[in-house]
Amino acid sequence: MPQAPTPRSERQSPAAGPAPAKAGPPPTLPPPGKEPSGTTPSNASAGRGLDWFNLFVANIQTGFGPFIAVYLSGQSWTQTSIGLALSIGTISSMVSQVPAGALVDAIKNKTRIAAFSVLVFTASALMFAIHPIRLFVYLAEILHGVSSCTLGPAIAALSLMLAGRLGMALRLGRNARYSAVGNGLGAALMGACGQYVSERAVFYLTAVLTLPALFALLPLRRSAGARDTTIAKPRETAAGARSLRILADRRLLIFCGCAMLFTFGNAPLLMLISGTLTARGSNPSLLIGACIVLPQIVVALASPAVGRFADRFGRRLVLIIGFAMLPLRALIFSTTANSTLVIAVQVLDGFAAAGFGILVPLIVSDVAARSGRFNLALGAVGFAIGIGSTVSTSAAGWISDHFGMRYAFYVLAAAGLAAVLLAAFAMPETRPAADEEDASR
Amino acid sequence: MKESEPQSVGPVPPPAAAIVNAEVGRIDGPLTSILGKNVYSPKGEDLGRVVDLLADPEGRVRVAIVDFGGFLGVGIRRIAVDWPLLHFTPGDKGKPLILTVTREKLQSAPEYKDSASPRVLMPPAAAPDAAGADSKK
Repeated sequence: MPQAPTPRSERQSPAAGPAPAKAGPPPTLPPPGKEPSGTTPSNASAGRGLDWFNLFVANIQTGFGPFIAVYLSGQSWTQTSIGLALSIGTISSMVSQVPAGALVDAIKNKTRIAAFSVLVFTASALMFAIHPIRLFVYLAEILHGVSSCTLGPAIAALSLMLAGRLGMALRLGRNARYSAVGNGLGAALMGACGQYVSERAVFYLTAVLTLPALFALLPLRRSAGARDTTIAKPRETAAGARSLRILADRRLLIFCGCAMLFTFGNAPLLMLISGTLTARGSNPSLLIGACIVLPQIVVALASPAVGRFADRFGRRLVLIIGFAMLPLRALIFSTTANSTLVIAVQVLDGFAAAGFGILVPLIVSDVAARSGRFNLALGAVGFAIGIGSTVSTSAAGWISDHFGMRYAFYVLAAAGLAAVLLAAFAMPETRPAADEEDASR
Repeated sequence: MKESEPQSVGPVPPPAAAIVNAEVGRIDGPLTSILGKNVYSPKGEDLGRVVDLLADPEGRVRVAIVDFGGFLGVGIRRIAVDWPLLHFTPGDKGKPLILTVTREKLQSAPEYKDSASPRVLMPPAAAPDAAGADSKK
């Protein structure tokens, strides 16, 4: 069922691939969609810039994870204050997902948004490092939460500009690869830093890593600005009502549901199993480290192939296969905490993460790229993901406390299975139609 | 090591309703900051970090909550330990808090969930009676 009977006004538009050309600026640049990946020199260097940018951003984000709770405990923070700080971070990122998406749509220069978001990361990392008093920590949490919401869409928008709608799958495969390398390296680097240098040093390291991220943006500054107009154009011609209609697109809503269910099942899984791992063995921390880093290695290796696969066989199939890893993992975890098996099962997480990481921006690009509301739509999916992960962490903890961890795993498996079923039976294929592809070749 | 029996934080508090005419003074002897400090086994292994303290209605600190293990904050186990298991050497800047249990014992202890009636890791003598009477039912 490749074509769903959803209204897609943009599909009839002749501006699909070959002839946007309403905009004045440089005709020397190929229209997006013409080139699946960069071939012109400036495009190629911009592509490499985006690769590195993904890597360093993932690196930076590692420092802002659950480690913050460890760091603040070490600063004699009470559990109540730490909980409050983390909630402030969660809430500010949830609240700003959709507005941040709209903001990124409205601002033309996506490179500048990306750079600005990273600078805000620098500021919040330094606030954590230099003076972790309440005011600064809360402020840093807010700043980080909001700028994460602008950075994600900005990266996706830059990818879309560089690769075009039809080259998006391959581009996102590359993004995911470099992010995974950044995540894996970041976890190893910051784990070692926290262990052998000091916990505070982790945040200095985070701040320092924002510099190469900014540096990586330089080649994008040149090539992205001009191209931007072709993406943003429809927004200017479209009325406000039409552009908001993207949020009611059936495909987007179903995908939001899938994403929420998947995140609900996925987010607490490692947390639950790693608590069990800690209870045994001589070096559980190393084991947990392996459980974090190994999926990233898989993502790094598999992502480009997943991108190609999504182009050849459709988004739905990747979605179904990726989601199916989750109930599988949850059920295996419910029966065993054998450390070798747990690590082996984490390979499945790598495949799920590769599929999901690529498909979120890809499906949103399929659905919304030409509406001029790409980032708004991405923000909506981000919001769904945020709800899923926030609710599930406390839900899984509660179930585990009251009924036992096994039941928590069952519930997470059920959520994963529901995501699979929703993707299999309700989600339409969103891959751009074959004639579009032919037209652009 | 000096203080190994259940102890109190300060003297017995005055009744809650009365406001006391408090004055500034000094407390003799070395003191140790506890919250957020790492605890070590007698063998010197890192056993985690004290993140909370529980007191009984008399104001005596009864339980220390220790965060054990994890990697970058993932997989931490939170364990309640009986206060007398902790020993203090304020002079030792590097390792002021010693927790007199083995690493294996601590890591396999049940997770701390509920501050109303926590399951607490305690010395063998204390477990059946006295110290554990109100926390284990």
